[in-house]
Amino acid sequence: MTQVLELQFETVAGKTATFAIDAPKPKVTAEEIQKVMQTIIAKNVFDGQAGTLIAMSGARIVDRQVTEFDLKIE
Amino acid sequence: MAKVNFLGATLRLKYVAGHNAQNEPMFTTKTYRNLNSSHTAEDLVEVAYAIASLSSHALDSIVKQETTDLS
Repeated sequence: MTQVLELQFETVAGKTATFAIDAPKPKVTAEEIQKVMQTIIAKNVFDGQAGTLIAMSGARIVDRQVTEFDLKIE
Repeated sequence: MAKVNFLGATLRLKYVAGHNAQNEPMFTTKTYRNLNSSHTAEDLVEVAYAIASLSSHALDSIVKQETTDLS
């Protein structure tokens, strides 16, 4: 199972910007995530087409299950 | 005097994702696009550490890649 932590921000244009973090720490807390998101907003280093990040909009962990098939490849 | 026009910059975080059979570190890189032109190196480092603090991988290095238009 692969896990990705997604941080979602609201931008000044009213759009959502997503930051993905691979292999999130197990048992990461909402408080820790909130602190990091506040740091990202406060430091204001990102500015995409949709504009500056202005607020937190959400955070989620996405699980991905990958099943490989055993193919006979010559 | 040449003109330097900022086009864009990305933040690349290099992590140690594990070790191979020879116990050599294996790296993985995560890229964050859309850095603005007004950031400082200090702010960037702080943001990089903040992002890396949520990962179970150890942060190996922080790279900023900037593209500029020269004329």
